[in-house]
Amino acid sequence: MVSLLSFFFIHMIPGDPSMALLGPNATPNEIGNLKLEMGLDKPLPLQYATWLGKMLTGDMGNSILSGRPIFKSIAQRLPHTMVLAFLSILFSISIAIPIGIIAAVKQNTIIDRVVMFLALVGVSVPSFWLGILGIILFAVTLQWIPAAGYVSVFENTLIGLKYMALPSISLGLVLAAVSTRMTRASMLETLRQDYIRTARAKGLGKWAAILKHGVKNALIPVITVIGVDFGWLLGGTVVIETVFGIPGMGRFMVYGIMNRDYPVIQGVILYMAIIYMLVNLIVDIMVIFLNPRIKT
Amino acid sequence: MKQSHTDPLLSCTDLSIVFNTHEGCFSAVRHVDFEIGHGEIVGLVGESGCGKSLTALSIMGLLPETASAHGNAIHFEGKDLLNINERAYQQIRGNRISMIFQEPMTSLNPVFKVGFQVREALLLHQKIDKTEAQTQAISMLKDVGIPAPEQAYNAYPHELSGGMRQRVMIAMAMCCNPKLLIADEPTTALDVTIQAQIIELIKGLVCTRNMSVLFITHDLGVVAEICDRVIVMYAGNILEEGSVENILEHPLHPYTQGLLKAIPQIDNQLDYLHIIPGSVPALKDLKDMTGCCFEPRCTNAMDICRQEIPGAHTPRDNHHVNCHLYNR
Amino acid sequence: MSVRPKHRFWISLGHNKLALFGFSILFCLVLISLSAPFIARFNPGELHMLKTLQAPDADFLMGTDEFGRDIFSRVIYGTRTSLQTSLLVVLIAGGIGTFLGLCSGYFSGVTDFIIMRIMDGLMAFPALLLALSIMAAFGASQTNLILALAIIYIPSFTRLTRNTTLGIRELEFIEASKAAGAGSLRIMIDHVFPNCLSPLIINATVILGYTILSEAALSFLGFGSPSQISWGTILSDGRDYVFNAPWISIYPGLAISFFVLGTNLAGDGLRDILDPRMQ
Repeated sequence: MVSLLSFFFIHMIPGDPSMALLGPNATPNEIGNLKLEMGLDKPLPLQYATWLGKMLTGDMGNSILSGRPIFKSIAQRLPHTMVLAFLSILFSISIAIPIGIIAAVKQNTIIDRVVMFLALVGVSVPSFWLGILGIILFAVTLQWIPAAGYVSVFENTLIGLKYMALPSISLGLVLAAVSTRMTRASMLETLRQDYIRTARAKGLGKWAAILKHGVKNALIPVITVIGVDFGWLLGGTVVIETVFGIPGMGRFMVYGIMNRDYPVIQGVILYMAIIYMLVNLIVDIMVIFLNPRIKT
Repeated sequence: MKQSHTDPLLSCTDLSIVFNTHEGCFSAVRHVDFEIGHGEIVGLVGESGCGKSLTALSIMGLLPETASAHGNAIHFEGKDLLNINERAYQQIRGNRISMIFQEPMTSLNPVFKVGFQVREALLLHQKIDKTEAQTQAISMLKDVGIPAPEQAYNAYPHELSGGMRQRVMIAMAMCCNPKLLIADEPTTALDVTIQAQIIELIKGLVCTRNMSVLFITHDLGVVAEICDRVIVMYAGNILEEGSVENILEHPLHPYTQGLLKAIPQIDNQLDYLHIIPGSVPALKDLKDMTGCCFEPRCTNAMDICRQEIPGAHTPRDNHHVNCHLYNR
Repeated sequence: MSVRPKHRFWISLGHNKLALFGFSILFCLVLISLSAPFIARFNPGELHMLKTLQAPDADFLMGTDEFGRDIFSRVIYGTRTSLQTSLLVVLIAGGIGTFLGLCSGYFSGVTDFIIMRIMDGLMAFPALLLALSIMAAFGASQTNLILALAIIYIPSFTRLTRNTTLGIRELEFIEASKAAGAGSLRIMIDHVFPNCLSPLIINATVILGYTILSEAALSFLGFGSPSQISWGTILSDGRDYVFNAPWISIYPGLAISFFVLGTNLAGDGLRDILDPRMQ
């Protein structure tokens, strides 16, 4: 319920100011015409309702600059952004969860301290800078990965993955740092629980008890955090796509902002908000699935 | 009926448990000897922090990482538990020796169904398939007095009451028919009426399965109800030990006498409750003591009590006491 | 031996090496920003058209960019802007956020409901996207950037203050209402607020770092004003020259990373020291 409320509330933000400000250089005539075109002369609630209606039916209007329908452009670009986001998450949890668990089990040993420090560094570094460093290192110096260009994973999976590797790793590393800390904290809490002791008393070995009984419990808060951080991830895709030249939604939005192409901006933000809501919904479902206490 | 063999089921000689901290080593349990016979219910009594739980954990090999057990031996079924590897221990835990704990609320994993957890114990130690294990688990749940065992099997821990959860714990512990059950304050967190039920349940299981129990508690009333023998512990040492009748009716050690006096009697009119003056010494202070650990609080303390640790004396059959008062 | 609480703070700080390291990083950066004219060899805007896109050497410690400007000097001067920006953001966000949180936690009821719904709405939205849309609507300038970022971080402070206030309210409320009877609300706020200081300072320290990361991202995308020299704008300049002049991109990023590392370490250290002492 709350998410729906905030959903609508957020829509007000890109809706109103964007329409209100047509840029300092527009002549009064242009402003007048555009206003008429956009229906700004009609009362506000009606504007909002029409706009919402259009959105829901997929009509997002046309880009001011290119004249092309925005919906189509977004639909074209959405998969690329999603692939980037998905690969980043995959990369980060495949590192974060095992390392977080190990750090928790070996608390206060050297392994733990090193992991924690690395995680701290990971959180402190700008992800796009990592991307740039990665380009410098792997593309220019080592020449392992082609420097420019982009091939979609949908065209040619293997080569596409090669192109996506560095972007996802740059984005994923920072997310991994955050997730590692969260996993470790959650795992530490879980390890203290009595049911781990019960599992050992049954005859389970140390790691068997931890992995079988502990992990499922520990992952619940971690997944929640990843859901929340997905918002950060979406923001990050904007920057990473710019760095690596990936034709995704993020870059589209930057292009829109640069050129004061308001419908574009609105469209992208709307879609990102929808995706964010969807992801959080999925996360909530997963948590319900994992945590039977919420089911009943 | 209890069957008695001449050899004890569990024999613990000269057990000490030491904590290794960066501030030094501290003995939490010192040179403790005791035995548990077949089909016997032995009570281990003492205040919080006297080392009872640690002793139990050391029998299970589940001491925390900072603690280590030393001593002569813990003999059980022909093995010395102080000298076996982790693999061997895993085959004993839940199988030959089981343990149940104080908090049924948190001792069960909240994300797994209850039946799954009971079945797990069976599958670990017996070569049966999942369906057979399920049948046995449900039967076990019935044996511990859970009204609708099939439904309980598919329930999650939070759907059951505290008493039910403790019954599940007992089922989990019993399903492989262990020879020894260690119960660490199993009734302390439960209502009095449920307490009584659990105690009856354990008594019944002992009879039907010829099992021994090490029953840890601080409640002498419970001891009177269920135990055959009692061991009194204080600050990591055994002060007195013997049959329930001997200990409760003829307590010899000043500490035991104090404990018994402290129990308010319903028909006595007292202005004040009897207390034992002072408090349990911290581990660090214990380290410096050369004599009897109870000496600072003892009303009968003599000079020798400060100088020498008292040895064991046996004033009558099935009654031992470590006190200089009886050193004559 | 009784040690006054203030002294205890410094003693425990000394014991926590990592926190000390974090604070020293911050301290150094502050020093650098204050003494920039003395450290930097060149004027940051100074052009050396004969030496454009040069790799680091003895004169230009971090190389030059496409206009021949000394990167080292630019980074040094950039420290000022970046520190200023993040400090301003934290002050604004902290100020407004704390005030709102106090009101929300203290008055509860409708006030609380409204404020928290707004905060939830803000927090539900991905931060960078929110900043981008604000800047898109109102234009790209340094001021707008600061304001946009401030808006993003307000909810964090609001929530923190509100929760602390809720906790304090139960404790001190009884005493205060007895003592002052119809004591003025201002006095209440003067009682409640000091107790919020500890978590606020910790939060502020950590957000200081995140602000810089966001500012860098926004500047990198092209939203900082080009006249201001901040680490983010230098990174943005270096975007086109990643292959032939990577040093333009490497060094400001390094500076950012150190700064954020410093704030994180300092924040962690503060948390260790201040939290256990809170009742």
